[in-house]
Amino acid sequence: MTAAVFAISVALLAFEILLLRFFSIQQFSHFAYAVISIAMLGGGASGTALVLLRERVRGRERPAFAWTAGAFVALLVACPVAAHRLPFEPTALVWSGKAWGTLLLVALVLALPFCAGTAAVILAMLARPARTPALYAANLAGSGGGALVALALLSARPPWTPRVSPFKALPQIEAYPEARRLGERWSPLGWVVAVGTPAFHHAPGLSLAYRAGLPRQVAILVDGELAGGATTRAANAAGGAFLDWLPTAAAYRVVQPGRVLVIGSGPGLEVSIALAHGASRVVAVELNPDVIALTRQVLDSASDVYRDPRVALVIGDARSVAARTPERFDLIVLTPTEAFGTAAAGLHALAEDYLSTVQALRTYLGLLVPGGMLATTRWVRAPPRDDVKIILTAGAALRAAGDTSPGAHLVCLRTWATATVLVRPRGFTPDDLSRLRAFAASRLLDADWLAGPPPGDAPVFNRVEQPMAREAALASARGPDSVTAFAARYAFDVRPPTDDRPYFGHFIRLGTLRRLLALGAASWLPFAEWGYVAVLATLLQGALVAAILMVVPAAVLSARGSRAGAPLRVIAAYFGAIGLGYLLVEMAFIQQLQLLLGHPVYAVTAAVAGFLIFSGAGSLWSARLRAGWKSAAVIAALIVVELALGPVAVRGAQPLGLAARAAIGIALLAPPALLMGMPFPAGVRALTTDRPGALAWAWAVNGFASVIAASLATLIAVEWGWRWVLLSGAACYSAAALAGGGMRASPATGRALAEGPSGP
Amino acid sequence: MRRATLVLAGFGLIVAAPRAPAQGPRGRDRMAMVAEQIAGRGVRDTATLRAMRTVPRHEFVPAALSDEAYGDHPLPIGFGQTISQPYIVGYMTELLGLGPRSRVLEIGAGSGYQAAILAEIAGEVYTVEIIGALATSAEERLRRLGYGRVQVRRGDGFEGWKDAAPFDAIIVTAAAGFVPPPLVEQLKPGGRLVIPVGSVYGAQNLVLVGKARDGSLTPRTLLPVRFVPLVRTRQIR
Repeated sequence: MTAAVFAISVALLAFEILLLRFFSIQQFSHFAYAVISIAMLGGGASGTALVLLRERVRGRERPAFAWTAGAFVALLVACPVAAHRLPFEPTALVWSGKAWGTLLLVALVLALPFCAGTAAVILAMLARPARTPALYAANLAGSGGGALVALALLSARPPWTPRVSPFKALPQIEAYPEARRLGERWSPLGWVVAVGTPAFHHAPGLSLAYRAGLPRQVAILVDGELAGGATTRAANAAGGAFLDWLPTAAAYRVVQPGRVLVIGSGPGLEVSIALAHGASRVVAVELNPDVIALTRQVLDSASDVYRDPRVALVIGDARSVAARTPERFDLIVLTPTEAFGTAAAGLHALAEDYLSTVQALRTYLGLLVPGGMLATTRWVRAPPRDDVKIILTAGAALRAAGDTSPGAHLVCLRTWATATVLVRPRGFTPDDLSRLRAFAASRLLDADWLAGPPPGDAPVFNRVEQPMAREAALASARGPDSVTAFAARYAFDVRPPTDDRPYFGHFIRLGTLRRLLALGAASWLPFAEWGYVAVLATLLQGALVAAILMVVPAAVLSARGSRAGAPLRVIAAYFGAIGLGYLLVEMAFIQQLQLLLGHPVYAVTAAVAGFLIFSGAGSLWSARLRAGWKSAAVIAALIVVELALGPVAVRGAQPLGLAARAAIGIALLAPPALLMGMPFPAGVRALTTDRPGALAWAWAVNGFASVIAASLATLIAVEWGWRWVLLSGAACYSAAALAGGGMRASPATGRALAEGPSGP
Repeated sequence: MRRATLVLAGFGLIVAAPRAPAQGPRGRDRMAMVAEQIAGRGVRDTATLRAMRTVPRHEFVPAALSDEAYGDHPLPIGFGQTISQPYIVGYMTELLGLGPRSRVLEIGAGSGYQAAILAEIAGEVYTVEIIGALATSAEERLRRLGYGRVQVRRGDGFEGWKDAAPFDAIIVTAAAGFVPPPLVEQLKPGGRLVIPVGSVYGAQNLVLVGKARDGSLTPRTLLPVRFVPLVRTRQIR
C-alpha cells in the first residue's frame, strides 16, 4: 500500500506541473493560480466526500482504497482529454456568462483526478492508521519525485499539438501571408518557435522620422508570445540604417562604444545595435538557450550576430552573471524582461522580475567603467506607468550606490511609444547633453530630463497630458522621501521594485482597483492588468468554495459524530494554520530560489521537490523523535532565523554555477522543510486515537487552507514583499502551536500531540 | 448580469428619449449604444454619431454573438482578432476629423465595421487586412450591406496603399510598436494618423500623429476617457 501511495503521489504532482505548463502555453500564465487552486480544491473536496461517506466506508477502507486508486488512474487519462474538448475561451469571460459556466466545468473536470488521488491517500491512512507516518512520507516523497518526473517530461515534445489561444501572437503571426514555422524547441524553460513571414516587422520605438525600409525579420516566440525578431544581415550592413533610429541608439551618442553588456539579448536586436555603433566587444546574456539556438538556426551565417567574433554569448541568469563577471563595461543595455512582446499588457504583472529591481540596477552600475552608462527602454502608456517606475528605480539604485545627486546622472528620452532612461554615475558633460539634444531633435524625441529639468522653451514633439517622467525624475533628484511621497500619491503602483517585492510589471493598486472596476471592467481590464484581478478572483472564489465545503462536513460531523475529543474549531485552527503556514513558507522559498536560480521553472521544481522530500523524511522521523505540536513552535522560530539568513546566503551564492546554487538553495530549505513534515502526521495520529471521526474534517480544513494560500501569498508579496509572506508563515505556525496546546484540554489528543505518535 | 444592465439602460433611454429614431433591426440597441457609450462619453462629432447610429453593428459580429453586438466591450471575430469596443471606434473616428471629401486608409479591416463607419462619413475608404479569410469576409459583408465603395485588399499593412495615396487620414487598428514609415509618407500634409500604442495585446492608449502643412509631425498621446476619472480623483501633481 505504501508503494501505491508513492506512485499515486508521483502521478498527482507530475499531473499538476504538466497542467500548469499546459495552461501557460495554451492560455496565459496567470492561469497558474487557477491550476494550483484546482489541485488544492480537488484534494480538499476528497476530505469532504470522505466525511460524508464515513459510515459507508467504515470497515471497508481497503477495497475502497483499491477502487479509488483505480478510478484515479482512469480519471488521470480521461479528464484532461474531456477538458481539452470543452470549448473554453478565457477572453470570453469578459462578455459571456456562458464562458464562466465552461470555466467552472473545466475546473471541476480537472479537479476530479486530484480528488480521487487524494481520497486514495486518505483511505490508505484510514485503512492502516498505524502506518500513517510511513504513508505520509510516501505521499510527500512521491510528490517530490513527481516534480522531477514532470521536469523530465517537459524536455520532450508533447504527443499532442498545443491549441494555442488565438489571442496569443503565435497563431496570429502564423495567419500572415506566406508564414512558415521554421523551427521549434521544447524545454522546461519554454516552447520556442520561429515563424518566417515577410509581413513580420519588429522595431519597437522606431523613430517617426525614419523613412527607409526594414530588413526581413523572423519572429521568435516563447510559449506563443513574441520574444523578438531575428534580423537578417541587411540590418548590420548598409541596410541596417534603422538600428540608428531605435531608442537605444541615443546611448551611443554619449559613451565610446567599447565593451557593451546586453542583458536579455534574445534574438539579438540590441546586439546588432551595439555592433552597428562600433562596439569592440559585446557580452550577450540570455537565459533561454533555445531562443539563441533557434535564432541562429533561422539566420544565415552572415546574419548571425552571435557568430560575430566580437560577440561573447553567455547562457545564464543575468543576476548570477553580473555577480561573478570580472569584466567592466562602457555600456550596459537592459532589455525589458518580456522583450516588448507582452510586457505592456500586464500579462506578466505577477511574474517576478529580478532583472529590474533596485538591487539589480545597483549591481549593473557596479559593472561600469568610470564614465560608463546603463540604458533601458520601456513602453510609454497613458497615464504613464512603466517609464515612471524605471526612473524611480534608477534613482533609487544610484542612491544605493552612494550617489547624493542622482538627478544629475539621469537622462530620460521619450518617443511617441517608448521611454529610454540613461543612467550614468559620473554624470553628463555639456557636450554629451548637446549631442543628446541633437539626437532627440533629429529623431523626434522629447527630453523629459537631461541631467536636470529641460528648459521651458525646449521644443515639444510628442505631446502628453502630464509630463510625469519629469515629475518622477524630479522626485528622484530630491531624495527618497520625495520618491515615497510621489509614489504614494500616484494612481498606479510605481514604487521601485526590490528583490523582496520584484514586480516591475505590477501597477494596480488595491485602492484604485475599486475605481477602475467602477469605470467598467469590461472595457479594458481584461487585457490590461488581468493577472492581478485573476489572482484576486481566485482567492475570493477559493475562499468562498472553501467556506461552503467546510461548513457542510462540520455540520454533518457535529450532528452525528461523537463529541468526545478535541473540539472541531480547535482541530480546524490547528490543521488550517499548518496548511496555510506550509504553503506560505513554501511559496516564499520558491521566490528566494527564483532569485538564486534565475528561472521560475528551476525554482518551482527545486523548492517543491525539496520541500516534499524533506517533509516526507520529517514525517517518518516524527514518529521516532516523538515530536508533537511543539515542532510547530520550533518551525516558527526557525523561519525567523531563515528570514535573516536567506538573503545573505543568496547574495553570497549568486556568483556560483547553477548546480552549486541549487545545492545551496536546497540546503537552505532543508531544515524548515524537515520540521514542517512533523506537525501534520502528529496531528493525524493524535486524532486517529482520540477522535477518528474528525480525521477527514482535518484533511478538508488543511486542503482548503492550501486553496487560498497560493493566491494569498502572491497578494501579500505584491503589496508588502516576500519577507511578510515568510513572517505570516511563522505566525501561522505559532498559531498552530497554540492550537496544539489547546488540544491538550482533551486528555487523549493532548497526550498524543504532546508526546508524538507511538510508532508502529 | 451585464446583459440585464444593458437592457435596463436601453429601456431607460427609450423612456427618456422617445423621439430618437430607431432605424431598422436593433435600431433601439444602436440608439442606446450611441447615447450611453459614445455621446455619453464625450464624442461630439455629429458625423461620427450619425454613422454609429446607422451602421448595423450586429451584422459585423459572428451570428452566435449577435445578442452582444451593442455591448460595451470588444467581441471576437475569429483569428484572434476582435471588433473593437464601440466607444473606441467612435473615439478614433472622431479623432480623424473626416469630411465628405476625405480619403481614408484603414490598416486592419477585421470585421469591416470601422470601414463601414468611415464610409458613412468619408468620400473614399481603403482598407488593408493581412488575414486572407478576414479580408474576404469583410469585403463580402461590406458589399452586402451597401458599402461596396470601400476598397478591401489583402496584404501587409506595413506598405500602406501606395496607388491610392496620399490620404487625408490613416487609421491603424492594431498596435505595432512603431509607425510603418510608408504610412507616414502616404499621409497628406495637414492629415491625421491614429495608432494604438503597445504590443498587439497591450494597446491601451492612442496616439494621434498630425502632419503639418510643412510636413513636420506632431504626435500627441491621448488619455483614454476611461482613465480620466481615475486621474481626477487622485490628483497627480
